[in-house]
Amino acid sequence: MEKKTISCDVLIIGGGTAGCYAATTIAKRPDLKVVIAEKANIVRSGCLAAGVNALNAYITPGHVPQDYVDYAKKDAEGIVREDLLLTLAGRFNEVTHDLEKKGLTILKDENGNYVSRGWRNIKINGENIKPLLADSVSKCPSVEVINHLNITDLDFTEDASGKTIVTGAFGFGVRDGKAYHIKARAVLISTGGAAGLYRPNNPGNARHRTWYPPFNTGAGYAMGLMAGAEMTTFEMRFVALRCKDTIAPTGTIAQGVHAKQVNNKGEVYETKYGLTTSERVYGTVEENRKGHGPCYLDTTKITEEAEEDLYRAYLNMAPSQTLRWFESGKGPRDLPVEIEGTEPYVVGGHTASGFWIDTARRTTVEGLYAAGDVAGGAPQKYVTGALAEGEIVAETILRDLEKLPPRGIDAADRTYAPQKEKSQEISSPGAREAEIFGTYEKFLTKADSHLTAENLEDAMQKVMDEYAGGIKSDYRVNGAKLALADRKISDLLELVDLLAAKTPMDLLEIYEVRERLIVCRALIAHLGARRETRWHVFDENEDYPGISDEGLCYIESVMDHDGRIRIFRRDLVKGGVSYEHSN
Amino acid sequence: MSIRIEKGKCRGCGACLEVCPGNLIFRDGEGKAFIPKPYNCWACVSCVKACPFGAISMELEPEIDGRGGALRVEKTAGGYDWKIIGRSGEIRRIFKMKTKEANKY
Repeated sequence: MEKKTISCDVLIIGGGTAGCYAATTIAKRPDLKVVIAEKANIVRSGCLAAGVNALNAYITPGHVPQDYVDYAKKDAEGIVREDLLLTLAGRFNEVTHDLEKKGLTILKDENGNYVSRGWRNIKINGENIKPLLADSVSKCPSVEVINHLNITDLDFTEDASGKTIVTGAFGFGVRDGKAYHIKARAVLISTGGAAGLYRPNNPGNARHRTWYPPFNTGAGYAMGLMAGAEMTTFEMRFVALRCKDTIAPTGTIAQGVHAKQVNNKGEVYETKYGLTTSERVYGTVEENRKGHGPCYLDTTKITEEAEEDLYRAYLNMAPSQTLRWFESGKGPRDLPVEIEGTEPYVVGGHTASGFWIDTARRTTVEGLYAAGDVAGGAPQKYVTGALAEGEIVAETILRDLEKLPPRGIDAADRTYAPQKEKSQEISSPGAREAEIFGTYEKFLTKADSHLTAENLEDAMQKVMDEYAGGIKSDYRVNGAKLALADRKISDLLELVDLLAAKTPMDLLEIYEVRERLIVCRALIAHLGARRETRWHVFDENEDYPGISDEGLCYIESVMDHDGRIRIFRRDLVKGGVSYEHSN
Repeated sequence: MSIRIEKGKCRGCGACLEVCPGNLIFRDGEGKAFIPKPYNCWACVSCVKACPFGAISMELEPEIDGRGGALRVEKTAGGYDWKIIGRSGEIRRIFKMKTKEANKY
């Protein structure tokens, strides 16, 4: 493989919403070189490829950022980082206005005020939200975007005390097949959350019709775990309530045209099980279990105007739903819209799962930062939260870079205190590069394998579905099943070594299944550690069906050198406290 | 399934393979676009929007109530025209969507 080495000040892994916004913020210092490494193309990569039709984290008139913190905390039954939420909520509106200046269309009333759809939501035409962000990145000459570059591993060194310091990352070109080593003074992981861990709703040809992108494989979580970074609250999975089959969003129907959740008898059940996000999903799951399904959003009483508007709304965020109405010959006024729970995802934009970070968005590993869906602690972050977090982490990186030697100095020489000894490398310089690139070559030069990455992916999804609380299990877990899941996922991880790649795209599939398996391993450990059911469906524990005060803590994980997941607990960070990592 | 690329209309410009968030589209021996694993398509329609020649359409699989129809997109000065196509290729509806308009719901 041809090798390419690039040096920069800041490497951003993942050119999605948070990553792009962080880049444009850092670019305010045009003397700093930023590289965005994106495995596809930033114009449409990540979860906003098709667009989005509302911003669901906005502080509307009459509300303050603390209202958002209180809401998110209540919805998550207390397991949030209030400092992270408050710092985000304080910027929701500002990043929205900035996006509007960049060209985002926001619905306004006759007085020129944003139209809200609920106390924290405003209506937009977000079909082009990614192209707008990509365009703003292209206007920054100090930001180099390398599309079709899949980053697989972080580069790091250890200082004299054994503390890990991230110094860059390794990856391969999905199109050009080159091996890349990117050296950076700061690395931001903004790779999004993880989908494709569990068997999805749809079979065969429709298998990638999922809500969260099937291309978000948890790469950042895996990379972080392998570098010894701490993760939080993976057990607060996200299961969404979505339109059946197309898995299109339901917010537009539920909040937009006020359609209620009804069962097959037409009985409204949506308040029967509680009002939190997880309780609303639980309602549908339970009604189905009781034999009252299918379940629907009753759209049959909406006006013709509303029906037309729904067709248009979905074209701008999930066009399959509009097509489906026409294919069936029955629109929302003819038939209520059937809804179902998705497969579980690990996504920090909706729940608290992800990297454990301080208020400034530093991870527990020096030189490594996280923002967006990959970062934890702040449920219901959504789009504006990702933008805000991108901005916050960028400002932190700018401050932290002031304390570091300039580019060109080897990481081994990097010291923070003048009197510290020169760092000792754990192995010879270049050893890690040789190891990582050697693994790429190994896969690419191997003769055919009887196993494919797809085989392993199907196997993983079946294991998770059956033993770690997927759709098949009504999302329920218990200790006995989780132990089996753990064993089987470990076995599958060993099988990754048997895979072979003929092309860089094959290699991408190998690494994607590896990433997911690592995330599954951590997820299983988290699910087993929370001995209560604090959030129905998200973490439904058959051994511990009740909620207990013992659960008022964060469940944390770190991967040891042997690949095992070590679980521990942290006390909740009180409101008003800005959490900082202690050394 | 999900997307269908018509070789006859494809000019090999590469816009679709550049934009696909899943890296799913490649060039065949004639330099035209093709999708080797259509079952991995997410139906985000980025490629459908990107194609200057209308060579790509999106369909629903029969598993999710697809009945032979399709969706096409044409870029206009102010946004996109979305065409709902019937099983026989007839245009059933056209939605003229403007980038500067946000829907109400």
